[in-house]
This record gives sequence, C-alpha cells and structure tokens, in this order.
Amino acid sequence: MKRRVVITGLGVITAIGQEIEDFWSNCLEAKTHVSSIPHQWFDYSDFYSHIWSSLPEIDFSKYDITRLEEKQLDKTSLIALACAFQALDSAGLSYAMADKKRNTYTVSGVNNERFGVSMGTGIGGLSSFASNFSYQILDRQKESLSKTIASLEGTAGLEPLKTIMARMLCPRRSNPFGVSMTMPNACSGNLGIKFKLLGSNNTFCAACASGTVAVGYAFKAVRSGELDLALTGGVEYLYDDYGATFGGFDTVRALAGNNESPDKANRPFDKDRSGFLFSEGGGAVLVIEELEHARSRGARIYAEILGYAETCDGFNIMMMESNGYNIVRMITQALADAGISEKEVDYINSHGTGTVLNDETETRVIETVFGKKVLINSTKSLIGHTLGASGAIEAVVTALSIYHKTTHPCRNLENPMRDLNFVTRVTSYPIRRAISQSFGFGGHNAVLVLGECS
Amino acid sequence: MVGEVQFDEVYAKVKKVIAEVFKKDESELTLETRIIDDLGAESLDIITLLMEFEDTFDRKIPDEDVEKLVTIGDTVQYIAQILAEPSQK
Repeated sequence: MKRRVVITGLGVITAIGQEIEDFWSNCLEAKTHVSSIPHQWFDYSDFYSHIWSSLPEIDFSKYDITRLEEKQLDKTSLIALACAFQALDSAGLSYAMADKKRNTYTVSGVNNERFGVSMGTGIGGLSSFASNFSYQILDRQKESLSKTIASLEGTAGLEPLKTIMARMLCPRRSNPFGVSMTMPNACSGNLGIKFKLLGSNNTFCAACASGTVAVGYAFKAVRSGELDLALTGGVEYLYDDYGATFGGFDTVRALAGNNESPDKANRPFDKDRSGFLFSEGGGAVLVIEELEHARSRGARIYAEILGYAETCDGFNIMMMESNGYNIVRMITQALADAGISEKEVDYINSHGTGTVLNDETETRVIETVFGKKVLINSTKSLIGHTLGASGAIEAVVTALSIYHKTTHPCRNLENPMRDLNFVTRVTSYPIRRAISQSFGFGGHNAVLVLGECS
Repeated sequence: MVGEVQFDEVYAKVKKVIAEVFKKDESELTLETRIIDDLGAESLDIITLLMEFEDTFDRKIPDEDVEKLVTIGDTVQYIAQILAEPSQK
C-alpha cells in the first residue's frame, strides 16, 4: 500500500503578504502590488513594459537571520529561510539552537536523517551574480574615470563624463561569498544547513515550473519511503541595478504592457491580456510528511498530495506547444497517479500567466479534459509571475483553497476569453480535489494533484 | 581625519566586529585574544572578518596581510596603521 503524503506547514513571502494569514486574506480580497519599475533602469534601456510587482521590504531579523547572513546569502536563500521558519511554525515543529556561532538549529522530535529538502528556482542567485559582475567590470574603470575627471576639473564639458560615472553602479567591493550566493542550489543547501536536515537535498531548475517540480519530487520521496518529511517549495529574486533581467523578458514582449493603467495591465484569461506581470520575487515553502507521521504528532493537515506528473513539450525553448498535447498527457498521468478521474477535480490553480499563448493553450486543454464546470483561477493575476517560485506559491494557494473551501478571484478578468468557470467572487466552494499546474521555458510541464485528507 | 583616529576607537570597533562574527560578549575579548587559537576561527570566519573590517573602516585589506592579524591587538594596530595612510579606496 502506498504511503500517503500530507501538507502540514506553509510559509510564504510574496508581494501581497509575508505570512500565511495576511497572504491568504489579501488573496481573497484580490489585492495586488503593482508599481512603476525603478526609474534608474531607464538610464540603461528603453522598455515596452514599465510596470512590475515589487516586493515590499522583508524583515529578516524577525527570523533571527543575522546582519552577516544577510550579507553572505543571496535573497533567494534568505527568502527560503524566512518561508521555512514560517512553515515549521505552522506545522507545529519546534526547533532549538544547535550552534550559536553558526546560528543553526535542529528540529525537535523528528529523525533528521529522514527529513529532506527539495526546492525549485528558475534563475537562482542571478541577483548576486549581477552585483559581483558589475563590480568586476566597473570598479577599476570607475577609478580610472574618476582620476581623469579629477585631472580635468575646471575644464568645460565634464558633466557627461560625471553622468556616465554616476551611472556605473557597482558595489564597493567584490563579495567573497559570491559563488555560494550565485549557485542555484544554495536555496536548498542553506535550508539543510540552517535546520541540520540530513536527508536528500536538491534544487530543481525547470524555469517557471521549478516550484511545482520541487514539490512533486519531495512528494515522491516521502511516498516511496525515502523520507518521512521534507521542506519543499520554490524561490526567486529578480532585481538587479540595471534592469537587465527585466529587460530579458521585456525584449521578447512577454510582459504586461498597459503602462497607462498599471493596476489593470495584468489580466490572465481576459480578452485584453497582453503578457505577464514581472515580479521582483518571492517564495513559498511547505512542510510535507507521511500521513501517519503527521497524525502521530497531532499535526494540522491542510491537504493531501494525491499525485504528480510531468512531461516535456520537446518543442521550443521559450514557447509552449500550442496543441497542448503534452499537457493533456501530463494531466492524464497525474490523475492516474492520484487514482481519481477528471470528474472529481473541483478546482484548477492554473499556470495563468496572462500571455496570449499560455492562456489560449491552457484554457483549451482545461475545457478538453475537464469541461466547463471546474473552478479556475490564476494566482499570478494577483502577485504577477515569480517564475521558479510560482508553482510553490500556487501549491500553497491550492492547499489553502481545499482547507478553507474557498478561493480567490481572478483579478481584472472582465471579458473572459473562453466560457469557463473562472472564479470571480469569493464564496463557499465545495473544493475536495484540485490540481496546480505549471509550464516552464524549456518545455517543462508539471502538475500536482491535491485533495482534502479523509 | 586619519591622524585623529585613536587606537581606542579602532579597538572598540574591532571588538564589536569580532563579537558579532564569533557570537561573543565584548567583555570576553582582550587585546591578547588570539583570533584562530582562542576564538577557533575557520577560513570562512577570516573572510567574514576581512569583509567586515573593510566595510567598517572603508579600507581594502590585502589577503597577504591576514597573517599579521594574529591577536586582536595585532589587528587594532594594523588597522590603525592603514587608517593613518592616505586612502586608496
């Protein structure tokens, strides 16, 4: 008999909430956090999209993360740690200081050799890489330029040189922790270190499907008996001083383009959608564990993970295959893995990016497989696209939707592109089974099947 | 400005950095405290210390000078000395 796997802990850092209760109530109120991109980015480039979903400042000291840790870890790892502390707290798992100097803990009452970590990130420590790279290429050039300007002081026409120098943004030093900040696996590695978790520890990199893939692999490891528990989720942090990461998506016209009405620009599944809302970043971590393990310690169970599947389009590095064949195949496999039929699925937390192609393909697949009755929403309509974190954040939303028997509306959905059962208001919904699906650059398709725990 | 930097001022700042890096109470630290032998500094601690000294005192410390920083007293002396030199950074 297969071991059953349940979700017992949740933690999030998002643009609309940095703890579960806040995040969930803001979801139900369909809140968003859209603002203009940093003004300085226009010094380096022109952009089609001028908006993003910025991340409010995160108080890492709340998690006893030290000032030194903040300097030595990339934001993706810091977000992972913050989410993990929340998730352990919500799972009712306590932890005690193990090493004061290293500021590390051990989780009490569990076998840490059977406690693993499975995280996802699309781009890892890119922000730290960009920062160190700018130091490497600019520091000496700035010094030379500074001397040149000083030697010419008093002569006319120096202003353009001074402007160029002011725009050569770089940190005052190379960060000696640059390598360990940049490597994508730092997010899972740092969770293993912080909580002395000695089971398998992996970071999955499947672009925008990373978070879903990570949770899927953790689920399989617990179900197979390799692990009893796992911290699993996804993180992303996409800021850089020059807007280069934003520019990469902007230049292929992937981003929401209505700059005149920023709050209205992000509109998945609407006829007037124009692209996705770029998010500065965020993350989610879930505690998942074997059912009897959870029951024996009296843990609250948010939802059960029933199944998982993934496929690859094998088609194009940046474009999904519009016939959706491999998405249908993936959903079919996942439902079989979960042992349920498509008629038993009440709710779909969609990938729902708001790009023309994604929403067209995804809604066609949904109608083909599930018909018109299944509830659908897009969490990206609220918080934008957090790439590798999105699947994990959406798994959290799916678990909460099952637990609370309600879910959030699709923001800005005024003229649905297809006649389907999109969530437009918050009311009681009989959500017993749900799927959360993600599609990533590279052709990665991944889906989790969640259900209430009977 | 450089000439006015007092040994005690540097000592206070160095102690603060070391206490933070090694999670020690400042009262446990003296000029004689040895960074590796008494505080058990590992290579990453040394890197952290250098980073913090550079940020605190706004000076670059060449890697080869690390060997000079055996005790807290040596460190204070070294930093006071480089602060007395014209800034390269």
